[in-house]
Amino acid sequence: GCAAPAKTRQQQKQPHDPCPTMGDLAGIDDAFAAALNLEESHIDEGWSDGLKEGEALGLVDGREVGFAKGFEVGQELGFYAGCHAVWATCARDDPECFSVRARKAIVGFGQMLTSFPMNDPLNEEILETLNTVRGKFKTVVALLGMHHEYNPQETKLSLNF
Amino acid sequence: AMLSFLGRGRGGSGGGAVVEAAEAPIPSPDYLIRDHGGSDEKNSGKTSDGAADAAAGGSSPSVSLANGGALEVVAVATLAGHSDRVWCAAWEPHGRALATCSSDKTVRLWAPSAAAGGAWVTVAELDSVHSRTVRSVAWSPCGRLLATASFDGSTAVWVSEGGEWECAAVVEGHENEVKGCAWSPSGTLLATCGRDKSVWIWELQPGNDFECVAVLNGHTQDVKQVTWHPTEDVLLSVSYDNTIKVWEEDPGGDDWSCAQTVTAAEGGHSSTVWSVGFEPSGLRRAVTCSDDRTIATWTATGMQGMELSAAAKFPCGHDRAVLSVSWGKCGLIAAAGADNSVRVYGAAGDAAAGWHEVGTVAAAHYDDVNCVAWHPTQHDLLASCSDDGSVKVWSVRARVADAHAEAHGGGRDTP
Repeated sequence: GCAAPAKTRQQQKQPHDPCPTMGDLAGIDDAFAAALNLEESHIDEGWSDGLKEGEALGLVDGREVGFAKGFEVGQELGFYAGCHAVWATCARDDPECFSVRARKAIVGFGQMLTSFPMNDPLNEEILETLNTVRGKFKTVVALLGMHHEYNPQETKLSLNF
Repeated sequence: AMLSFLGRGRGGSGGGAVVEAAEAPIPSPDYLIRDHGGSDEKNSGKTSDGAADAAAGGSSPSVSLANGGALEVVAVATLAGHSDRVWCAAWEPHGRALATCSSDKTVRLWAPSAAAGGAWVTVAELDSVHSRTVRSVAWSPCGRLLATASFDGSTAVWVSEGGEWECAAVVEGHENEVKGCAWSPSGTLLATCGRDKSVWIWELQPGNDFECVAVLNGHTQDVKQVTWHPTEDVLLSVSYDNTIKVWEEDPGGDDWSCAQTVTAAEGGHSSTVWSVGFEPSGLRRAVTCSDDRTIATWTATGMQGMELSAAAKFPCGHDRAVLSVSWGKCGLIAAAGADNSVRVYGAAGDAAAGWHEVGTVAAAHYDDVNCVAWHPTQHDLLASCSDDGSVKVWSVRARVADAHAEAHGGGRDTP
């Protein structure tokens, strides 16, 4: 046999409704639908336009912020690496100039810098790890009897990215 | 009046002791218009504080008992001398003296004097070292060294040589106000914490020198207090960031790191945690208090390192911050309220079953009570200090009426 055609929702709801205008009403609704939904469709259009625009702008913005933040982190780590290079050289050439604890701390500091996940920008622990490195830097500075705060403003370069 | 002291700041030497009346006249509210300076320590705006109402004056604070309270808290002595708010009070580990520190940049040591008929006198004044508020004071376990943490960014360590106090060392490193200091149980490590969000650990060297062991970042806001476990080298810190952190030395022995962070999710606090302390007996529990109007107790367990697990949390009984807590050898917890009160809490039987207020002094001081501390050997004595510039010593004991009734074979049931 043949399969019965699927009933429309209206027909399913009122299977025994003998009213002949049911079908007509459905037709009238369709005619008005476009007009009644005008606001909605404009909103939808605007939304998708905005989404596309936002994505494009977001990408540009994000890249800028990422570069700036990455540069900041890199600059700070570079500063620490420079300090470590000097300290490690001093400790190698004249071990007695630093206390045992200071020498140990300098070595530990170097290890932290080497193992820093610099090439893994999506690593969520980067800032936490940086905080640990900062703490170690302050410890070494204190052990060397100095008092120094890392301040990037002091090392302002003429270059501007 | 000019006073001469047994101890002075760097290199000074003092004269004889001077007797001060223990029951000094009640300080006038001059302090209210004095410029306190320092950072905006207590006005966080995080929880509704309201203006601090100066309590109505009275010759002695009324003793009131909360429902079911069985103890009375009686003033034993009022110690007047500081000229600005007093932030911290700490008993010498053998109970021989009380150290207090103040926004007047000095530290005072007090003790009862036989020569003065048992009245409390200032036995030493430590000054001329800190250039700003002294926020916290801590005795080393042997009682020989005294650490003082200051808003000037430094922590001074004082030594008493034959009765004279001298500043033996100053450790610097914090970028701004130091808020707390504490000695490890072995007496070899000194921890400090401050507004720069960091915790520093220093090791005592021969000659009263200090070497920096670690600078611990982790808290995201001002760190209010640090305290050590009574027997292990495990450090606790509490902060404006609402968390409690546990710090331990790494197995290798070269670095320290955060072993645990307790947030509201783990049963911690929902606002600034002001103070943390350990139970002095063997049960190894800790207590914290917060801006969120609650006091929480914790079990501190673990053979490999220490872990805090939530035990009980109860409301402080008033609508202001709890600025300090202290767990006494008597088993009671005392709390300092920003509502000017000193309150004592006890747990009936099983601790987890419920802590409740067992003794209250609603108007213990004329302003915020910043610190409470139980005496280490006289288990009924409790010290408190306040923004009103005074320090008080209290005796917490069974109500006289009950004692009397019991002695005569009657009396109400005690909870």
